[in-house]
Amino acid sequence: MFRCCVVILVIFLLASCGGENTDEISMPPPSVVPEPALLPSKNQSARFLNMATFGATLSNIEELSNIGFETWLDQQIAMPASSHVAYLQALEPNLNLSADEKPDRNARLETWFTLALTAEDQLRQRVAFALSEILVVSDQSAFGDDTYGLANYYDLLVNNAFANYRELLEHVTLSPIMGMYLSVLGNEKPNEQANIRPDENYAREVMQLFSIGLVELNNDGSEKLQNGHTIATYNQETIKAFAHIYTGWNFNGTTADTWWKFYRNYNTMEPMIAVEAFHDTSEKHLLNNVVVPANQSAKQDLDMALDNLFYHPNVAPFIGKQLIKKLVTSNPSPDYVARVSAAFNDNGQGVRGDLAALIKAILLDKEAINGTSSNANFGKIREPLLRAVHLWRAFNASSPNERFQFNWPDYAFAQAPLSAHHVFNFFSPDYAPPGILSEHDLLAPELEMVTENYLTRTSNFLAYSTLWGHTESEGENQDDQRILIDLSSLIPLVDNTEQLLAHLNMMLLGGKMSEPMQVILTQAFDETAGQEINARLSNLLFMIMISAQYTVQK
Amino acid sequence: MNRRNFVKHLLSSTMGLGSASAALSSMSLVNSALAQTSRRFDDYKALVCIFLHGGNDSFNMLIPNEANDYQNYQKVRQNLAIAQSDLMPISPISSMPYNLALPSFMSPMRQLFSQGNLAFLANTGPLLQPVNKSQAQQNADLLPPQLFSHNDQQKHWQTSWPEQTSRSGWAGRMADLIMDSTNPLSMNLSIAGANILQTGASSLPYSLDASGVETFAALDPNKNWNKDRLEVFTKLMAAETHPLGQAHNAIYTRAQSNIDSVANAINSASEPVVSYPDNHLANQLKMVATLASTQQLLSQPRQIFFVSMGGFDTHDNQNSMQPVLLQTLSEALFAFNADLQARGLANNITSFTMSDFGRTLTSNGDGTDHGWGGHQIIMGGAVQGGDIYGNMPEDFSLNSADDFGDGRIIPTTSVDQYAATLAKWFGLSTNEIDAVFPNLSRFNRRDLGFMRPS
Repeated sequence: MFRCCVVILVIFLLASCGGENTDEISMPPPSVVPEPALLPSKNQSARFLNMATFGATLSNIEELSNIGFETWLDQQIAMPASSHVAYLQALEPNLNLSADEKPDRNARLETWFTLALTAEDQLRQRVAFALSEILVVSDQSAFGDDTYGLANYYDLLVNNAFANYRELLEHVTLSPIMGMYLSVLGNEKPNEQANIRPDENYAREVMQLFSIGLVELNNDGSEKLQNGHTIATYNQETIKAFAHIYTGWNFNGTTADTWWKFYRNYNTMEPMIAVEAFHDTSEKHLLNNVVVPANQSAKQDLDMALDNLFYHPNVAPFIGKQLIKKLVTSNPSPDYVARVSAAFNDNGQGVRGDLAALIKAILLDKEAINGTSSNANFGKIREPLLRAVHLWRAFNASSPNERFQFNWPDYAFAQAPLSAHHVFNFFSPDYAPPGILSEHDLLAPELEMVTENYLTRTSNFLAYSTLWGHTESEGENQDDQRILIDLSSLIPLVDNTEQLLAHLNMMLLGGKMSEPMQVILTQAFDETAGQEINARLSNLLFMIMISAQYTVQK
Repeated sequence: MNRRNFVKHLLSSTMGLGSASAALSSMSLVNSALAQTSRRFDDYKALVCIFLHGGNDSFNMLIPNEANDYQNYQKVRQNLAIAQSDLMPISPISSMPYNLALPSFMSPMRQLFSQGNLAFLANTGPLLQPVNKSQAQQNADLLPPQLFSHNDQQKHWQTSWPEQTSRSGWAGRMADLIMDSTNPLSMNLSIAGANILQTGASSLPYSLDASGVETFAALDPNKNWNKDRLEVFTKLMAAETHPLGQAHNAIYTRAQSNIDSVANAINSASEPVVSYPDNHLANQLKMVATLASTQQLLSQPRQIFFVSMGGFDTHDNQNSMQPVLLQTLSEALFAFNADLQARGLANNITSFTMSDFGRTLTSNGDGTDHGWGGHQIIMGGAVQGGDIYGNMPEDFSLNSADDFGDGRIIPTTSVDQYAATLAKWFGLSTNEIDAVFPNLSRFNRRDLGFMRPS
């Protein structure tokens, strides 16, 4: 089936590209490949990798252009997961901690940067990051110093990035970190005498943000209308019913006798367990007239409730569209969303919720592959944090101390992994600033983070990283934490501006740099002939990294 | 849409509902609105929105104090009730249904209240129109959209216009009407990032943070060695054709056109003579005072500031969290007020809180869930302080006429009335207020009386 898709897609590409793009499809000689199979060009490969990973590297581009998108995706999906907890454990001896110290936030960030920059399972890590901005927990909370617990939550996303969404939802629901963040942990059955009723926090947010959203959707992501009005998916009574479902869960090891002993039971490395004495066993009325009978166990109730959410027709367009926005484009066409929803609803083998199929459908869709050649508004603002990671991957970053320590992403980018200010993430999927975008009815979710102040800081970060942070500048030093890029791949191209720009264009823009931009940069670069090579190259790189064309991934 | 078109559009779309005479007056309003310059105002005024993110449980701020009343309060709030021994009575000017007290961890705020520098607005919240319990229960169309949802209710507070199809907040629409179009710096200044409150149809907030404004390194036009780089960058900006890229460039342009003037203003401001506590809200308010004190240098006779404080979504551990939150807020307000008094700006600046919603009077074990109405705080020399405005719920018991369920109290005053009262003090005309708050006419009082007549 997927072979068929690729063929159709390639035909589409051939049909859609005019004269200027004829070199984009490279056909390997028939003697090498028995069946005629079209493989992506290096530019197409780089562009694909810039959506599917934390950034294209030369070796990844080479590899992908030799095997094609789908084989590459299958290999990535099959690849074992790189664990953040395991990395943190291996890192711990290097942290020089005293006996009563635990790894801090910086160690978790170092783990994240190291894996984003070096892990082989790039697709999985990139999808996990996207999921971490949907299924949000944050260190901006009471458990913010629980470095292992947060890394363990991140591993949950990594491990289940290609699992079934139903499984992922259950793991998330039973995560003690999520349990603390959205109050399932310790949630108890009603106590009418004390005016205590179940906590509604998770009951509300799991519907609003993690599964079905506020209003009924069509498969193409558009809102269903009744008499011109949207249709609410749930009301306060639904929330109350689900709040009763999510009662009776606590840290692994908790018993009815120790239910209240939070610190004694504290355990964020294993899923929560049910303590039936604190679970509400009344009958509950969920969505779509599903009735949960009385006297079930906490787990029986939970299974029915998560099924109730999972089988709601909104999940495919609600989650599918958000993942499209996180990876590919802020303004997908309804047809694109509908195709992705269809893959969520049925992976081709009758299975609903297969995330591997969903991710493949998102990345292999003709809209993702064709990009701006079929829709001029295609693309998304790159998240500022990911601009840094992309730069470092593209230019083989290293540090004199041989680690990737970067402790202030929040300051430079207004974001850091698992560190949003609230469950609504750093930015809303529906954000659009007024002006040109709202006039064209276009969204730019990531721009919610890009205030004047943070745009300046991100530009300055890129200035330090490109202009002054490359390997020629300093000697080796174990205390030197700077992350330095390596411009050596560019030096052989310095006397051929066209080739140099083509290389940078491939690595950073997947070959999508416009003709006018190439002219401007060529002229500017040629005018610096005779100046010091590294200064010339780093300045060119800086201009690309801060350009709007680069900032919009397309 | 340019500003002229926007103003016409705004006024015609909101006033088109009325009679022909309203249409006529809207035309004259267009003309007067377009004539706005800094010369319209010969005084200085600023509004400071302090947004309490998450939904402040404000029914634990103003607490019934007499024996019977306290018992009713305690009966519904159970393990979340503030101990009576921790209460400090207050004496509002107006008569209340019962005597009231503030918890001791709000004592700085109590001092501001007794000095007449601070007022409360009781039981306010998002409303489409006045609604009583049976109406609210019987007709869901009378309820604000997505009642009890954080981001939707925040949006209602900040836009005061849930039916709008565009995305503008009421402070942004105020700026659309009265801003000085010759000043590149927006009258809406955010110290807490992007927000819809200050986003107009044509005006946007300028964003900096509590530590001030970041200046460009390699793109700093004041440094000669950046000249070539900036030339290339300017060409690249001009060559951008993708709308997302153009939107990104617009942010760059706003930054570049304002950094120098704002940084200079901040550098020229005098240090506060009072000491602020060291917390994020206090740091933001300190920056507000700094920018307010340099308004002349910035040519801004009107400023609107946005600051925020998080952590109010107390589903858990409310008894340990809430005292810390409200004490932090009280101390920050106290220092800010003292600073503004020392700078001679107290009468010019009105600070006010907004928060997603109040919270359930009932407990979920160790916290509260999303409610509806709640009390707000208004502070400044122009406030008729020492009083409580709006209506305190008559009865704290569950299932009372004010209780929409589990102690979610139906607001008796709307966001629109609250904001319109502030807008009037700020200097907007009646027509302008109607244009900014299209739902205001559904409520019977357009001025809640908490500001001194100017």
